[in-house]
Amino acid sequence: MARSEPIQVEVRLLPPLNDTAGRDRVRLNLQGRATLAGVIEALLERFDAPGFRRHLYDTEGRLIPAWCAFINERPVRLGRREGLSEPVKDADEITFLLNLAGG
Amino acid sequence: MAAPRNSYAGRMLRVDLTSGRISTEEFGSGYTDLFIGGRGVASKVLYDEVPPEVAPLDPGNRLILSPGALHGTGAPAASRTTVAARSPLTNMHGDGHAGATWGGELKRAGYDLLVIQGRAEKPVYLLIDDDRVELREAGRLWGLLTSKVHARLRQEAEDQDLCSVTIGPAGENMVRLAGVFHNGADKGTSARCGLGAVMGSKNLKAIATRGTRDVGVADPEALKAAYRDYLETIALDPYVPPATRYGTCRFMMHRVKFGIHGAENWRYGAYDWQGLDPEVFRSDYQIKAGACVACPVRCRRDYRVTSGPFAGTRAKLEWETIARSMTCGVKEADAVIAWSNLCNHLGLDIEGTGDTVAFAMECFERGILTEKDTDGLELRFGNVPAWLELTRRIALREGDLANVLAEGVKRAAAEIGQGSERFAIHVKGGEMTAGDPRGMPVRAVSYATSTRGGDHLRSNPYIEEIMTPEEALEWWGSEEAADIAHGLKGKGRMLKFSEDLVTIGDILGLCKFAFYRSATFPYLYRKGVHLATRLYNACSGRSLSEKDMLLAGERAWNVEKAYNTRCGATRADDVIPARFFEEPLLGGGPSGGAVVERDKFEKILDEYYQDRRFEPGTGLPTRAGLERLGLNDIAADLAGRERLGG
Repeated sequence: MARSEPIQVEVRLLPPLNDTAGRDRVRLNLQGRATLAGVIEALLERFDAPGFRRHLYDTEGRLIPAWCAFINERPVRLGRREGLSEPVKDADEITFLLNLAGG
Repeated sequence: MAAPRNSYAGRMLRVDLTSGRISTEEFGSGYTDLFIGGRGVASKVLYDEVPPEVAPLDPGNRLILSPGALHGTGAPAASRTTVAARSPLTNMHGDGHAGATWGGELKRAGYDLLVIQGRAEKPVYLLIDDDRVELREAGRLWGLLTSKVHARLRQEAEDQDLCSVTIGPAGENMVRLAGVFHNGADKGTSARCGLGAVMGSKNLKAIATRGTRDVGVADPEALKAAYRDYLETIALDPYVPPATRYGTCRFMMHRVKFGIHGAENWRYGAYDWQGLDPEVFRSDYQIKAGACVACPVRCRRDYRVTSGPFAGTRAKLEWETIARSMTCGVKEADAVIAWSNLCNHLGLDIEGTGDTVAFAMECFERGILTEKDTDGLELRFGNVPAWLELTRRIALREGDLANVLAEGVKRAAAEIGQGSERFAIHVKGGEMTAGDPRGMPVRAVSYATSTRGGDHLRSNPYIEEIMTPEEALEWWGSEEAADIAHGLKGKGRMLKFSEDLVTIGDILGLCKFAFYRSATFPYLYRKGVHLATRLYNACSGRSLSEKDMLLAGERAWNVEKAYNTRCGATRADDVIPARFFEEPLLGGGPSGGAVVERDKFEKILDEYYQDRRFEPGTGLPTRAGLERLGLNDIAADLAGRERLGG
């Protein structure tokens, strides 16, 4: 599939993103930006709230490295350079998880 | 007694249960300069007073109760107290920490530390009411559940603010999985290492405590400023909102997405979890969202079952309760709440008990144990009635099998034999906790190096999850350290740092979830080192640097390592169960098929030893390493016992 073709992905929002967005799922159209960076851009356009941005970026404007995106079931760490350029395709389910262990 | 000028009372209380002698001793710079408080002080007192010749359940063992240095000051999330003793579970250093009000009450009574030794002839409890300190007969309390004894002590004292630490029937029966409970069943537990059994061995049912003095703060304005900066920092941190929403139940989604549950006695990574969804707990069972003293994160949760066989049962529970329920194959939230209630009231450590019952279930599944051994219990994974009944029997040592399991999983496997040692999941005799380490080598090593047996709260190897490659290069000398599954170089250094870091929390009495977990490394360092140091300096009037504070964490860790070394531990004890090396994780999912690669494990351990300045081949501390930390007395002691590395 050419990267410029419109694709749709389903994004599952886990805490704290779902609290700020007011919903657990959202369907996004990605026109010409079929990567995880494109998914985040589309999310920020859709939920244009300071709280939503603050959960994703630190005070220096860097993406918080603990965020992990799952493309369907495959984890991609967004703190790694190559993470944001990871391609997504039509009908993928993307889950954003704050990757913090503990017990 | 004049109002203190800083957060130290300057004295400690010693109680000899054999002679009945109660004494107040000066408590000052000899301990506080280097060891500060909480776990730091407790570890050194244990080293100084309990040599390896004293067995854990001997009268000579000490029960040491040491509030964190910031406890009682009003510093945020600073309500944790260390209880320490030589562990009857591991025969090594043992400690447990609880966030509750008892430690602050001890400080308000005018003591920085309580040391209990000897053994009473009959059951007693200790009453501390400011300067009035008495041993009282406790025959009427013996046998009571943790909740009942706390309520009875308050009732008899006609004081609803009285604080207590107690044991339940499990501690009385010297079950090596027994904990020490703060203010009843549900307020906080020094759970690990079998410390309740030590208290039981001393015939000590409870310590009731009331204090009316102020805890001093050297510089209240500096405390306020540091508190304000702490609030500003956590307001930025996306780690906090899920913790506030779900409590520690939030960790379920991490386990699900990475497939590292360790269900059915640490065999299955992916598992049926939907019945234990944090949203299920929140919407169907939660009755109260609360906090430990002065904690803005507010992750404490109370739950109640409203229908079905457990209707009316309520309990506070943490993620670990859910995790260990899954270790036993249990998938229903109401059963988890019922089990938590049972363990807390009987006085059992949920983590150790869960792993021990799971071990017995695997023995049953494999035919090593039969219904004849279990007195009719069909001990299958997920059989809730059998799970609850065996837990009850363990606390009461009721029946031959329960009596064996009450010794903890390592001793139970040695007794049962028939190859069961292979699926007794423990490190140094202490049962494992948290998530499965397969596929995550530094976590595997962190369980192995823990000074109190298999445990996830002795370090924060999860730093690898929140660091960028650039940060890893700057701090640990290699970008690889930020790579969870494949990185190697820098991991040992990162582990050592994370151990020292979280030890600061135990020294100061700061909650690990409030101070030592964050979504970014800069936030983590700011809270766990920078603000922790500022808070301590404001309260104590001292002028420690951040480096001094990290060294204090390192020093306490080394005292514990030296204690274990003196008890005979070597590199061979810094290991995880063979299952993790040799048996691929079952159940499919993201981590399906993973093992801990032994070669990687050993390489990370080598780098860790090098950074700790331990002798590589043996893992023994060295004179240079100890003297660098001011532990010259310990170096001399180990040298005299021929336990010092070269």
